[in-house]
Amino acid sequence: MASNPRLFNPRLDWIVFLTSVGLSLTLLFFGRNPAVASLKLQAVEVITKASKPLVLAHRTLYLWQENMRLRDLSMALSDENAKLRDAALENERLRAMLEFRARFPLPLRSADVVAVPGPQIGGKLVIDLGRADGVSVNSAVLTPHGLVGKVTELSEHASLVQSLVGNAYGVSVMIERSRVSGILKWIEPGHWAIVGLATGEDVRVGDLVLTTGSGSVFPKGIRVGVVTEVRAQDDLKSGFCRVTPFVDFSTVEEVFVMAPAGTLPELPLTSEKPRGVR
Amino acid sequence: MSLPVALLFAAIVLLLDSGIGQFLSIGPARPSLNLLFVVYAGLTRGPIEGTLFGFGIGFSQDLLGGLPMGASAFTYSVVGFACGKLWSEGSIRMIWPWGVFVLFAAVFAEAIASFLTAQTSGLSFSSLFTSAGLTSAAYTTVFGMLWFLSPLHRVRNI
Repeated sequence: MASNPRLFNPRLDWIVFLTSVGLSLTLLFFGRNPAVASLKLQAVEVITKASKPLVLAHRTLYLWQENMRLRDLSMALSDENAKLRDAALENERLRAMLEFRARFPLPLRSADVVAVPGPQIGGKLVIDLGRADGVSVNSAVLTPHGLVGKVTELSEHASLVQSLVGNAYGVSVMIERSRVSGILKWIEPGHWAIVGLATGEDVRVGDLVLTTGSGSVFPKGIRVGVVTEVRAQDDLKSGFCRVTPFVDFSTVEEVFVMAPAGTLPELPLTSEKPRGVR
Repeated sequence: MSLPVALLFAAIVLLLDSGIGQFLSIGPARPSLNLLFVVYAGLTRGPIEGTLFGFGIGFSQDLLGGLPMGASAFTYSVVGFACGKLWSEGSIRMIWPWGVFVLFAAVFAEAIASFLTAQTSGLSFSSLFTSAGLTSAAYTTVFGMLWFLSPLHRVRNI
């Protein structure tokens, strides 16, 4: 241990120590000297410049961490928001269905759309009710907004519904205000028309279109849509008046199924203004 | 560690302490990186260099800090000298002696700082020391022990 510097000249360490302490105490008691104050300011200046990159690095790190945290939070909130929005929309739909069911005079069975097979323009929907639930071919399918279509095929617990999309069949309809009737046909994606109307018939834009009940498929008085365009000439191919259905067929999730018209009483005609026009 | 490297380390520690030390604070407690370095210097380099490092770092801290000029220089000189005098082979090889050295040094330094702050502010020394001093001392000790256990310390020992 003789080579250990700390044991070399044992008095030197005390000298250094006492000198340091003495100097420190001198500074402590007489440190208000202007020269010392000036030195202090310069030191602060130097250390400020030297520590700037450190502070910047720390802030960058902090910003990065905060950014990551906010990103996670944003994702979580976005997810929660989507769920809440979905729940609100579902709540609105279900509430409308409940209200509809309460004021609809015919027996209805609610069903969920469980699949949309084929292309959108095919207009097919699969619902979770079948023969075992009392559903039969040609059972009308509707939502609180209006007519969706009819059941075309069914199994024990599921049914294939053909909506008004796809021109698979015509629906006998009438103008609510003037009682003028015709056949509703799908003429192109997004467009329907009432054909078979004579020139000069009393049809106006905004007229409500209802089912007539003839044909023993759809009960009388089911809301279908609203007239959106009336043409002057009688052109059976292109349609005399265009109709926009109340139902958006691409977003149907819950529906009601009812028995074919022949087995049901007539619906009372309504003068209620349509709602939910697309 | 050679003297130039030790000086470089001292500068870096001083810079870190003043630059990002406030970001490490928890409530009124803040670890003193400078004190840790002075204890380490005293334990590894003996009383002379421990005192000189203590005085140098303390003086630099006084130039920057809120304590009266000479206060930290005095405190750290005493700490560096004491650590150098109390040095033994095991003190820096094992964690508990190191922790005890740091704790005593931190309590001493915080007591001096609390006393001087109480003198200038008119507040009670005991409340200052118990509310901020002891917590800072404990924080510095924990910080020092974490450093001791960290790969940084082990690598340097290799």
